Amino acid sequence: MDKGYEVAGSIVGKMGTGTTIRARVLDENGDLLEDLGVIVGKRTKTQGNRTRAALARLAKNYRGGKHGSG
Amino acid sequence: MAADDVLVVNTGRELTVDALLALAATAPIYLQWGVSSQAVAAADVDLIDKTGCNETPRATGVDSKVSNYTYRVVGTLTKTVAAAIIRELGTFNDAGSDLGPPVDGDTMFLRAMFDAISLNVGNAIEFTVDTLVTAT
Repeated sequence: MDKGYEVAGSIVGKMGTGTTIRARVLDENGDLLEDLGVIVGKRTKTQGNRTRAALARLAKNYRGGKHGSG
Repeated sequence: MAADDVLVVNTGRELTVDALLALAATAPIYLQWGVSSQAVAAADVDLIDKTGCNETPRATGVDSKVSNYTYRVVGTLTKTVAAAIIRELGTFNDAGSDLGPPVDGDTMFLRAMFDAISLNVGNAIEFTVDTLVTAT
């Protein structure tokens, strides 16, 4: 008699999705009215860089006394 | 002894994108919009509020593979009936025949909710929907 065993079961794996949606508003002629960029999902690298650059400018101006009542 | 592990590998992720594209006319390329700001839930099967959005039920988009793991749908919806403040977007695998809830074989792929976009009659939005298939 075979004394071996049989193993039955399943392997559960995971898979996911990440979604980004961009939007451009057009007029009745199909011409661009406004590019809204990413409206859902992660920011693009370019947008992140722009934000970092803007923050850096603010910090520099603040240190330079351009902001605040001093 | 190594710990048990399993992962959908990169070639498997790409296979998923290819499978979506292979659906052709039954791929989730049909776009519809709505006005609800209700949070998105995994159990959603339709847009929440299509009031004032009774344009031709859905716009037919074009799908493509923009990277090995990214499935893209680009489509344009146009306001033809009345001005509205758009807050949600859904993609479906069927063009739909009316504004009622999806029927058999008509399935929502994703629902998105976003900041208000005010549109007048004649305005349109070109949506680009990128779905990245991740390993976890």
